[in-house]
Amino acid sequence: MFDTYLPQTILLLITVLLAAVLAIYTWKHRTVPGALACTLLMAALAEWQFAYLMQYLSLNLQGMMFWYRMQYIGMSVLPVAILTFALQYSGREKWVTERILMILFSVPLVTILLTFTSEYHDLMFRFDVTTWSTTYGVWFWISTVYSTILMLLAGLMFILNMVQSTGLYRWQAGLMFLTALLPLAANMLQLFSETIIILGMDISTLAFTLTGIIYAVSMFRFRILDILPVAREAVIASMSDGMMVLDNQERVVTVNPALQSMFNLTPQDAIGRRITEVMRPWPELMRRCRTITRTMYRDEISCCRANREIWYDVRVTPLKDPSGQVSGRLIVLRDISEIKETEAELRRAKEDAEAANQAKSTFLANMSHELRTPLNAIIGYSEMLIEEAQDSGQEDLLPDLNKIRSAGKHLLTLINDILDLSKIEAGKMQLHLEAFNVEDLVNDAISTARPLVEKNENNLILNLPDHIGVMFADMTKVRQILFNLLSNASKFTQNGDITVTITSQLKDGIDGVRFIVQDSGIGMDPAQVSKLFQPFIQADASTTRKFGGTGLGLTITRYFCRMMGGSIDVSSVPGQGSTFSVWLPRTVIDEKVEILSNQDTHPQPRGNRRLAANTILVVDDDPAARELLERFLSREGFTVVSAGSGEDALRMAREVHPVVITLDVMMPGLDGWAVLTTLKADPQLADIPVIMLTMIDNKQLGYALGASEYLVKPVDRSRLIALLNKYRQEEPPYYVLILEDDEATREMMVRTLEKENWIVDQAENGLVGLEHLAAHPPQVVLLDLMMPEMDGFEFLAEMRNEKKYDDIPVIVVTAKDLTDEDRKRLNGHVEKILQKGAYTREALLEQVRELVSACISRHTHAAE
Amino acid sequence: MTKILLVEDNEMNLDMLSRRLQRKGFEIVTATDGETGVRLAISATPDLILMDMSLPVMDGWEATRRIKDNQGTCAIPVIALTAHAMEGDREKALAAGANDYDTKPIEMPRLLEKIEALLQGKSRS
Repeated sequence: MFDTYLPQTILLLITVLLAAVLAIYTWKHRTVPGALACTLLMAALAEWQFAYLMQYLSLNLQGMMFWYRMQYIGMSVLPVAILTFALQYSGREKWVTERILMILFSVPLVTILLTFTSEYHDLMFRFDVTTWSTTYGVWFWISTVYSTILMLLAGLMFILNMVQSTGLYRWQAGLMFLTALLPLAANMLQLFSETIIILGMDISTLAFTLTGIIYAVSMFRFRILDILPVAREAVIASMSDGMMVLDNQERVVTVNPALQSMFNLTPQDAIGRRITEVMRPWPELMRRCRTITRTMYRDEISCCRANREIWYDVRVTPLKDPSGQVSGRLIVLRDISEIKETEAELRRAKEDAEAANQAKSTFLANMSHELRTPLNAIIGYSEMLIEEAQDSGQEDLLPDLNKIRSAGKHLLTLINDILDLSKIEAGKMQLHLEAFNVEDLVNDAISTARPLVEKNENNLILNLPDHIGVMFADMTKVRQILFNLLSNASKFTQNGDITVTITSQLKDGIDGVRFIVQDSGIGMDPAQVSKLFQPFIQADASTTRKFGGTGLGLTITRYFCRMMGGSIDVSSVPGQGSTFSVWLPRTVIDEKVEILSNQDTHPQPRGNRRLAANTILVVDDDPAARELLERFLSREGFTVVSAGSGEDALRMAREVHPVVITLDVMMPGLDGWAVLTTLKADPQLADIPVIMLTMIDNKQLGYALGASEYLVKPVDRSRLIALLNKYRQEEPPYYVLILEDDEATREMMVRTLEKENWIVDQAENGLVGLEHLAAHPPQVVLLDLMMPEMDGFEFLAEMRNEKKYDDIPVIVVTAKDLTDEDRKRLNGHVEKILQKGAYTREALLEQVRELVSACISRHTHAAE
Repeated sequence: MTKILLVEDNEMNLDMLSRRLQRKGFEIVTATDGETGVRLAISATPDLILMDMSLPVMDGWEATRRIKDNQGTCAIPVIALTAHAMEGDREKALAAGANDYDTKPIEMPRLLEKIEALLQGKSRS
């Protein structure tokens, strides 16, 4: 007996102590979910085993019986504690309610009560002292079955958990399963067999000791109580991103299952080994991961596996210890191949769509061409028939013929719109920049739109200030913009006003022109305004039926505005009308050709102004053409010198150094090309811009040789002037003396000339005039004949007596009906006689300006 | 009488345009392909040529280039006509040597203006 006595006692003691320590340990961590159940479990085990030990050590029956009963406290509570722990451990916390706990604990409570009162009812057991044997009562069996069921349930939960979980977690669950079954088995053994002795120890004691050890190991090795870290690990285990932790020796500390499957690794392959070995096939990844020490690093890397490109989003985060030293790295890999693939697909889809759109645009362009050809015949023949009907007096046919013609023209504008849009979408729309007069353009657009305006009995009001000036833009597109706005306004306005306002306006420091078209028509609500510029969409679907049109006009208009660096705005009130406002820069820059024009030798302001500013050298062998151009240009305020041959041209260019040279090509002797080449080769002359004016259309050659502009004869005068104005230099103001006794007339002339930035001196009679003449000799004198004190004739006689005034031209402006004698007196002394009243203000001004220029030009010639 | 050579392959356009120009008092010579156009430019000595660009046998660009390359015909003004309204056509026509350019459908007043301008310029120089 003593042989088994000591080991048994020691084992029991160990078990009791272990269980007690764990009970205290878990009690300290009781805030962690499941810890309290664990405490109860350990306490129950400790109590049970302690009572067993005491029973074992009892020397008398009474003591033995007492400790035997005491065992039932722990024994009956233990299954409930295990089940509660199992519920919490396996994530079924919601089952652990007060009510369920009360029900669960009710059976052990009854068992304990009955145990300590068993001699009165024998419901639990009866101990026969004489036979030294125990007879079990009814409740004993109930209690045993109950305990067994609870422990089996707990074991089942652990098993389920074990199956579902992986790695560390599975081990833990497996051990837990054992802890549920071991006490059960031990209990069974103790019940049905008498004491089985193995190695001198009671088997049940051995089982319980094992249970205690397992719990201890679980606690410290597998951290049962660290439920939260376990949960975190569960997240890491279940996440689809691959994760790996390296220590600062670059050894793998842990890899999660996702990473294992990504790289076909097993934990055994990886953990504890250097990453260089583990990740040998991934040198690129390696290189990046190793260099990261400071901040988080993120990148996308690709690799090829099984003939498939795989993309990983790699994030490397350095892990730092409290002192800030890098103690390891966390590497997270996400497979983004699918995202990459989707991206590529989207890109392909976009490219396909663009190609399809391009194809559509090309198709539209071709279609438009095909449509225009028969339309050509329809419009042409109808126009021809109209002419024939008019000639042959068949007037009754005219209305119908006109309908055919106007329907054809309408169809043409629709096709043109579609063509424009397809060009825009195909990116083939280009700018043709040129200089033009804004006033002419506006008048042109208005005259084109006038039939539309008048169709709905609308009244057109034009606010166009004087001297709105010249624009350098795509004239056709500006005209189309204005026409579109006018046509829109006319379409949606009935018996109303359409107001066109043009102003010069600075925008962001850029000089520009604003075109405003305001109507008093049906207007639009904000929702309609917002859809206004979308292609194919009109303010509402019924608009097309009611008003016609493609709905492309404004889309095109806005595109044109933007192309030229401008903008379009709209404001509208339903029922009151709409206002469209377009701003365009005065000088449009075509981004595509800007580089080219920078290489051009553009005129530089010259210091040596040998002649009056803005002298133009006209080179043409045809005297008639020369004279025509001279007259026209001097009327525009230029001083003109001319040359009839290439040789003369070069000589005069050197002498005069004009601001611009206009050059014909076909000339005897040195032709235009030779002149141009010589001019551009001479550093003194190379900076003079040359405008080719010729019948020969060889722009490439002209530009190649250095021509600034190329115009084909017959010359479009407004175009030429616009071009020349680019090179016009700031003129020094003319200095004019006006002799006029009538104050109102004098005032009018002064104001007119001052508006042109001329400096105007005035005198009310000849005497005063002579004083002024002496004080400040003017460049030109404007002379009235009928004046008090000293009249114009006397003044002129006095003035012409003085040699120094010979160069000053005099222009007579008079209301006097001149006699032959009068004319004789003036003859040879005055430049020109202008009849008051016979000229409008502008015409008078132009005459004066032209005469002054001509005089100055002539006097320079004389000086040569 | 001013003689105009009209080179155009579309029968209806040829008929229509030649009749309308005749009504305006021009003498019209016609060709329906580029090669005939070039030949007639030499033999018929027109004062002006209206040249469609898309022509069979030899296209309008090539025909214009040949006319302009020939010493005998280079002084005859050529107006290029095309139904292509795409950008670049104008430049292409002018690069081939055409003196002016117009798009179809023809607007009679506009075309007449261009014809007049070229004839005037020619008589002047």
